[in-house]
Amino acid sequence: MKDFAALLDGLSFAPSPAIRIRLMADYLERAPDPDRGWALAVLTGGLDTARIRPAALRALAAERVDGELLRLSLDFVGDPVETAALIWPEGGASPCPPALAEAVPALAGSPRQAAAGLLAGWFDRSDPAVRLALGQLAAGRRPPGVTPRLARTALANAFRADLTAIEEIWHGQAPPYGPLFAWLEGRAPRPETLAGLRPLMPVRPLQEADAASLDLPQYRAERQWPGLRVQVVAEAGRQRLYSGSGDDISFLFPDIVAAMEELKGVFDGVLAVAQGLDGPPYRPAPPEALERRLGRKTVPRRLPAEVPAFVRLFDMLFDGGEDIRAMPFHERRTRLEARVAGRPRFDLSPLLALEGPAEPDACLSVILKRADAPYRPDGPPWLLRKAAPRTVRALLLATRPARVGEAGASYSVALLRDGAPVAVGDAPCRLSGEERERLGRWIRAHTAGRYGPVRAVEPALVLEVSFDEVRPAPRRKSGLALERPEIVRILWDLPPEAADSLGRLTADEPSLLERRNAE
Amino acid sequence: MADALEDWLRPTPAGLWCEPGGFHIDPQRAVPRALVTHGHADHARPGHGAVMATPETLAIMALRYPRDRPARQPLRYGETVQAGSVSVRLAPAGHVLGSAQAVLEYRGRRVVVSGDYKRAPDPTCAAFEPVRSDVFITEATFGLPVFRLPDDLEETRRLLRSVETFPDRCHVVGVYSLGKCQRMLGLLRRAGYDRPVRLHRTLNEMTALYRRFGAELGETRPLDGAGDLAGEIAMQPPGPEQRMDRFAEPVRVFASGWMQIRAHARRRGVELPLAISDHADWTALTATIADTGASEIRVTHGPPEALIRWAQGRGLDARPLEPPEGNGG
Repeated sequence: MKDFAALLDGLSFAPSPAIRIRLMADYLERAPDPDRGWALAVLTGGLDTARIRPAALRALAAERVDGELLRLSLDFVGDPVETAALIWPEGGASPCPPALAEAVPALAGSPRQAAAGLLAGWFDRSDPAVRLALGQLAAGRRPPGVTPRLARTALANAFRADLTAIEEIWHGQAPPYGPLFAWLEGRAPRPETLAGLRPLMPVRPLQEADAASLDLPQYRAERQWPGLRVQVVAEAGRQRLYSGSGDDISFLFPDIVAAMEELKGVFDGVLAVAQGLDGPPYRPAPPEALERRLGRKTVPRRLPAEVPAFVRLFDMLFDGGEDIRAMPFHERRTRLEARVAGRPRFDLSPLLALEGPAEPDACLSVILKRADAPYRPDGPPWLLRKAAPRTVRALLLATRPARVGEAGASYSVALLRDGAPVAVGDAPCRLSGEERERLGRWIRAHTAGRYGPVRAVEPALVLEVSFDEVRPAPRRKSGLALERPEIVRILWDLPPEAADSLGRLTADEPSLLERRNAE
Repeated sequence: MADALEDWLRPTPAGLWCEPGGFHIDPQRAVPRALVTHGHADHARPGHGAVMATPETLAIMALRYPRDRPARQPLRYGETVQAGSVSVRLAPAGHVLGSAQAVLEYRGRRVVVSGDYKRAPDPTCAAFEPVRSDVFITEATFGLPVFRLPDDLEETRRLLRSVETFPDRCHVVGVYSLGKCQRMLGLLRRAGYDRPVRLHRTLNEMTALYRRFGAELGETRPLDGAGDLAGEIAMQPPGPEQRMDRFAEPVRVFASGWMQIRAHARRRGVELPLAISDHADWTALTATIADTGASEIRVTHGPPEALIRWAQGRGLDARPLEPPEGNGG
C-alpha cells in the first residue's frame, strides 16, 4: 500500500502525461501480484471504490480528535480528506497498513454504511501518506490527468508490450488481471476475449507534400463527421460499443446497444446525437449535444430518449463472423451497405464525388481512403484533408492569461452586429514575439476594466482571425462560435468599423448543420 | 510574589524588550543592544550597537552584513553572562548552525525564549536542549496538528528514488541558503548519495562557513556553466526569478514543512514536495512544552490558536505573545 500511496502522490504532482506514464510503469514493473492488478483496476477506472463523502471523513476524524483543533486544521488545509489523513492520531505501534490487494476489493465490495468503519480501522494502522491514499480511494477520487488509456499505455511500457495487443483483449479481463500479467511476462499465452476491441485504422492529416503526389482516382472520400469515433462489435451474441480511445462505453448507450442485436459484425463509425429519430439517415445535432451522454457513471432513464444517439458507419471489419479486413475498401463498403441498409440507429457516411483536383469542396474536411486498401491499422493510414482555414476581421474585446496547460494567453474576439461588438470566440495568438509585445503594450494602454484575471479593452483594434468552422452556440449572445480560432495578423491601421459584421459569417456559412442536411 | 512576565519582558514594535537587562531579543529594527537567537534575516537585522549571540551566529551575520560593525559579544552554548540585572545563557535550539534559545533569569524566575527550533536530529547543528523554565515563549510556525512531519531521511530517500526513476532529468531542489541547503546536503550523504551536488552561486559562501565550523557535506560543485545536469541533483534558492530552462527536463523539488499540505505544493508548482523542515512540527511543539515544565506558555511566530487550545487543555496558562512581533516595525 505504501508504494501505491507514493504513486498516487507522484501522479497528483506530475506535470505531463509522459511523466505520469513513467511513474505508473515504474510501479507496475516493481509491484507484486495481486497488488499491481488492483492498482491497475484503480488507475484504469475499472473499479468503483467511491464509498464515502468527504464530509463523512471529516465526521470520522471528529470522533478521534478535538473538534476545535479539527476546525482550525480544516480551515488551513481546505480538503477534508487530506485533513483527516493528516490529523488522525497515530497508533502506538509501528504502522502496518492493509495491502492494496486487501483494501481495494474490500472497499469495492463494501456497502456504503460499512465503509466508514472499514476506513477507521485502516487509518489506525497506517501512516499519513497511506491514510491519504485510502481516503482518496474511498472518496472515489481518481488521480488527475490519468485516463484509462494512459494507464494501459503505462502497462504496455512496463512490459515492453504493444498497446494495441493489450487493448484488443482488455475488456474481457477482470481485476486483479492474473492471466493478463502472466501473458505480459511470457508465462502464459494471450488470454482470449469475446467481442473484444479490434485495432482501429489511424487517420493522419494530409501534408502539402503528399497532396501533390496523390493519385486521386484511386481514392474514395467521405466527410469527416464530428462526434466520437467508435467501434461497434456485435458477435458471439454480445454487443459492445468501444470508443476510439479503447474504452468500453456500452453502458452509456443502451439505446445503441439494443439496436445492435440485429446487427452481426464489427463496424467502424462515428457516434453522434440525432435530431429526432426519423431515419435512417439521421440528422446530427450540434456536437456539444453528445457531451450530455458522455463521462457519466450512470444513465438516467429518460436521457436516451431526450438525447438519442446514432452511429454513422463508414467501414466494416467483420461481416457476420467473417473477417473481411483483408478485402479492399470498395468491397468492404459494398458489404457494409448491404448489411446496414435500413437498420434503425445506424446510417452510412455517404461517399463524396471526387472530381478533378484534390479539392472536392474547400470548406469541408474530408477523409481520403484508397479504394483498394485493406483495413490494416499498421499499413498506410487514412488521410484527413482539413478544410482550408477561413478568416474574418474581428475586434479585440478582452484577454485572459494562460491557464495551466495552455501555451499562451487567450484573446476574446468579436464581430459587429448593428455596429456593436458581440463575442464569437476565444483565440490564442500565433504571432512573433515582437508583434506580441506590441500587442501587450496596446492592451495595457487601452484597458477598460479588470475582472479577476480578465482584462477588458476598448473595442478598437482589428485582428485577422482564422478558424476552421462556424458552429451554432445558442448560449452565446452572438448565437454562434468559431471553431479553433487563431489570431494570425494584427491590422494596426484599420479603424474599428472595418471589422466584419456577424452577418458575413451567417451569409457565407449557411451553417454546417444545414449543409449536412443537404447531403 | 514573583513579578509578572510583562513587567520585565514584553513585546514592543522593535522586538521583544528585556528592560532590566537593557536588550532586545531578535529586534526588527536597529537597537543599542540585541540578543540574536540565530542568523535568519527575520531574526538577525543589521545596524545594532551591540550584538550578543553564539560565535556561529555572529559569523553568519558578519557574512550577511559585511559592512555592519556592531560590538560583537560571543556567547557559547551554556556560558552565562550578566546583562543588567538579568542573567543570560544560550542553549542549543537545533534550528540552524548557531541557533540558540535564550535562557533568561531575573529575580528567581526563568524564562526561555525558544527562537526557532526543531527536535529532529540534524548533523549540521547542535541538537535542541530542553531547559526547565517557568515561562516558555515558543515559536509556532507549524502550530497545527496537521503538521506532523515524516522522517527526514525517508523524505530524502523519496528524492533519491525519483532520481532513479528519472535518470535523464535534473532534480532541482529549492533550498534557503542558511540551514536548509546544508541540512539537505547532510541528509543526502546520510542517505548514501555520494555524487557531487551542484550548488547555485548564492549558496556557496554559507556552505563554506558551515564547513569551517566542521560540517561534513560531501563534494559540491558550481552549477553555472555545467550544462543541463541531466541525472544530477542541483540546489538553488526558491523563487520564480530562478531560471529553470537551463536544466534537463527539471524536476522541481522543494524541501519545506509547508510541503506537507498539498495545496501549498501545488501553488508553488512543485513536482516533488519534500516535507522537511527546520521548525518544530506539532509533535515537537507539544512535547517541548511538556519538557520545559513551564506553567506559562507564550506563543509567537505562527498561528497561536491551536497550540494555545492544546496547552489550556492541559491546565497551562497559554496566551499569544502580544502585540505580534514586528508590528509596525
